[in-house]
Amino acid sequence: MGNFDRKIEVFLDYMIDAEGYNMVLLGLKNTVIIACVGLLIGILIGTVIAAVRVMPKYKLLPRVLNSICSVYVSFFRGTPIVVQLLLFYYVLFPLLGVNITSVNVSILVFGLNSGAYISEIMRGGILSVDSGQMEGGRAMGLSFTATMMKIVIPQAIKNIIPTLGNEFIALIKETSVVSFVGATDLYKAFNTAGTNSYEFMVPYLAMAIIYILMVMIISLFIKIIERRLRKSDKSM
Amino acid sequence: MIRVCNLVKAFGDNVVLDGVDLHIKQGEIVVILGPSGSGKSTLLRCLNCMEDPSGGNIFFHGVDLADMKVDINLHRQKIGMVFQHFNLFNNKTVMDNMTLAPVYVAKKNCRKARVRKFFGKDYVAEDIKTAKQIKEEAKEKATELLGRVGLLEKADVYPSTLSGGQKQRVAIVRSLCMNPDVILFDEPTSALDPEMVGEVLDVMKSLALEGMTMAVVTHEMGFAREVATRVVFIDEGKILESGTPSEIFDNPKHPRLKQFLDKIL
Repeated sequence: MGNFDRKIEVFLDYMIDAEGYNMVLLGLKNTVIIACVGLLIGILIGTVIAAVRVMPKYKLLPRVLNSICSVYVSFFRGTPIVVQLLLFYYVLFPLLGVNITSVNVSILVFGLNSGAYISEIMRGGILSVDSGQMEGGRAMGLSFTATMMKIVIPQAIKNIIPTLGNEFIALIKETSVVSFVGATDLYKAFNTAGTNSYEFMVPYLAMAIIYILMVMIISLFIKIIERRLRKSDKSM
Repeated sequence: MIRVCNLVKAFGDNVVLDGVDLHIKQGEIVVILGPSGSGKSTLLRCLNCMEDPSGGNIFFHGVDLADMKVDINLHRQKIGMVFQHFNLFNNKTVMDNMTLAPVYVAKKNCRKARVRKFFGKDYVAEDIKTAKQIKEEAKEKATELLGRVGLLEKADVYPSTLSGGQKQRVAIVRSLCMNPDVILFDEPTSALDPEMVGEVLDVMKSLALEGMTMAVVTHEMGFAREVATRVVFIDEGKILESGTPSEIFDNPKHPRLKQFLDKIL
């Protein structure tokens, strides 16, 4: 194991003396930004899709919207996220002639992708809310959309917080593929550290620990949020 | 006020309402009786298009609600509804439950009036208010109504902490917040403990005394006899008999009605 001590030394040398920590911090920042903003975009898209999917369908417009949504969901659930990243970065945006950084593409793709998954989570959440809530709102003369936004979705979100937390954790871990389009994330930073010193053992170990720590912090947050929501349910 | 003409409602092959004609006039209290599965709840729910009719017309102030082109939300604001399971909004306090719809409607009207004003069209000047004004007005009205049913101290609690009777009383005054022309009651006391039925019926009676137009589906025969101006007996999707409470209860003509009354009285 004397060898291992040397490896740690090499790693620390690179990290501190050669200022490798800058890249790790940048990678950490990008990972967190991609996951967080992606989740927000995903929640927005997912909520809209879920609302469209539970709409009563005897008029034309909801039916058209519904088929658009199912195409969207089947595309983003049917292809690997790496493929989506490559398609957006190397095909779609060059075709459109838009110049966009790889981090921004990653944020967009992760948002669109998680939107497809969250739409199904959200649909389950909406269906779990008693249908009387919708009836109560509609009978007062509120529109479908207004009742959805003010009454049903707030209650649905409360029901799906644990599943949503799961999605966020999955998202954080999936961001490790964004280096496919050249974005600097946590994986890329430690990979570079390894390439520089030809020693991969310690950097990858450190990377794994950082991912675990991030996930532990997130699950703690989810627990706190959940407990707080439950409390307002009971004590009032 | 509400005129139902040849209303038909079918769920698939199952015909629930089979050509119902009913006319509810201003100030009338119509109680709809019938065995379970007779279509009485469906009839009531068709009156504000919670169930879309399969055929026939429902005229409310002369507008046919069965027409899909009609903005049903606009008319529902003037048709209150009270449900068997209360359907209070669980994520809102009692006060918010009551002010939600009035504030929403007032804000919408205000936006419309502002747009009309901007384009130089004529508009209702009273519609233009600040958001604060709208909220205060709704709150004032809700406070007054809550006080009337003796639930003022419950204004800031969530519905989950109320008893069934309290929930239903809140539901009734919630529908009153919109100043409806008519209120539909869909078995308002069926989900309540027996000792709470009285408090809800008392609120309904006081409403009746004030001249509110009501259509009530209920199993409370005492209420029907005492308060109703007209009782309608419905079975298998048809109105079999209709008349004043004394005609229906003391002198029933249709054999099916006689049989029904024998069983429950």
